[in-house]
Amino acid sequence: MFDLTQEIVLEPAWQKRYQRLRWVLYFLFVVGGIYFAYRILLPSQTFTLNTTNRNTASTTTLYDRGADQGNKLFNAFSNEAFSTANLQIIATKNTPSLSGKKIEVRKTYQAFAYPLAAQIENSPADIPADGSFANGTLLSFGNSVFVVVDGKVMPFDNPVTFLSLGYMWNNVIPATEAEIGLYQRDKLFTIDQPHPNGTVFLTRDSKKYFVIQNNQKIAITDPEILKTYLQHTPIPVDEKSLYFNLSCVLKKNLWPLNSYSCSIPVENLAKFLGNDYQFALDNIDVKNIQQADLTLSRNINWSNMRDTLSDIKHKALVNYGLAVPY
Amino acid sequence: MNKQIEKMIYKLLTDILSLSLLVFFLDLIFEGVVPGYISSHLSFTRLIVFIVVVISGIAYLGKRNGVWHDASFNQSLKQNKIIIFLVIAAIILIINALFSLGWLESLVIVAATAFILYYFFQLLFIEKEN
Repeated sequence: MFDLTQEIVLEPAWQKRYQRLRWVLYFLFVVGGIYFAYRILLPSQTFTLNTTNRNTASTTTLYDRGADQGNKLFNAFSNEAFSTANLQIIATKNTPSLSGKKIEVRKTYQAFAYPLAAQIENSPADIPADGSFANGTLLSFGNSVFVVVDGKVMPFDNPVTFLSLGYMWNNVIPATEAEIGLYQRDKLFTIDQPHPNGTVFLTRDSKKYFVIQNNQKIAITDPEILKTYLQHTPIPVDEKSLYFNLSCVLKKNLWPLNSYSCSIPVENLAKFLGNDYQFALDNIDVKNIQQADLTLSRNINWSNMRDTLSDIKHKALVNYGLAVPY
Repeated sequence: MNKQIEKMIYKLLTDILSLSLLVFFLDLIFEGVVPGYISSHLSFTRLIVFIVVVISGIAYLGKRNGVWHDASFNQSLKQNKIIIFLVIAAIILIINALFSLGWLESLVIVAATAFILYYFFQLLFIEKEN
């Protein structure tokens, strides 16, 4: 066997021990390699609810945004498809048992999950008459892509965010420096941001149009009004993505103390468009939660590994200029 | 401590070092081809700190037991078979880096690398034969 220290001779008994330990070392190396390959080929994502500073945000933040029919909603943003969602909640002291509480999950777009409003308030809103760009318009200048939001432009932080919101590159309008200069530059547009006012959604399953206005979703049924909004290509979405069809029931863990967890198979959510995994907590007061961790993981199967290998191949081609980013 | 134990630990640390270097160079090559894929899962800083700690352990035990390699540059290079692996890894990394450079920079780097490799070759094999 390849030995870099042949010149150092041990007594026979110690040489035997050394050989055994060496085999253990190689075994651990191989096991570590397999585990690392597993982590790369089937990557999981972990999200944590920050209970001390709710203003912090990152790609690993579990947000406690909004509510749905009285139930608290936790949001995890990712444009990837997963097999299993595992949620662990550590309750604060003296909290009544959370065992048996139901957790439900859906995957949609944050803005599409807004409550449905009765009618358009200021039609045809978001279509300015002065020639400036309407809300939701995608502009490019230099290496950046911007979205127009209420008279400001927000640059996308990366192409993943852009694509995770269902936008398409061929809808981006090249802008001049003067055109971009008309707008105040706002903070980065990150994956946890909802679609801006003026965004039109088209449901793939029911062929309905909805426009976003002031944290509300409005159905557009009038063809004339629709025409004014369809200056931008609508974002495809699924009406069924709003249903909470998947759920699990919290069970108490032995460790850590006061911790509860449950696991939901989320493979069926892959067919829905959206970047927002929303978890509805059945009658759980968020004040009683000391910590919440969500892990979205993939099962070992050929389909999942093929997706990752395809992604690696694409990124390698992009690196050598042989393909364009998604 | 028993000298035999120290020598055994020395030998094991050397094995750990060779495996760590193998991992390090494979990671560097993969990171060069697909930037961000490895570094999002593995901290290069931690790996380098680990390698430095292992080398320090080898140096300490080697000196204590008088089994330290000849420290002179020529001797240590000639005795160390791992140098061939390091040279191959370095060539792969340099070639990979050239893809993102212009032809003029590439030409200068290729010439400089060829020059250095020629002297490495002289140092490692020609002088050894003599």
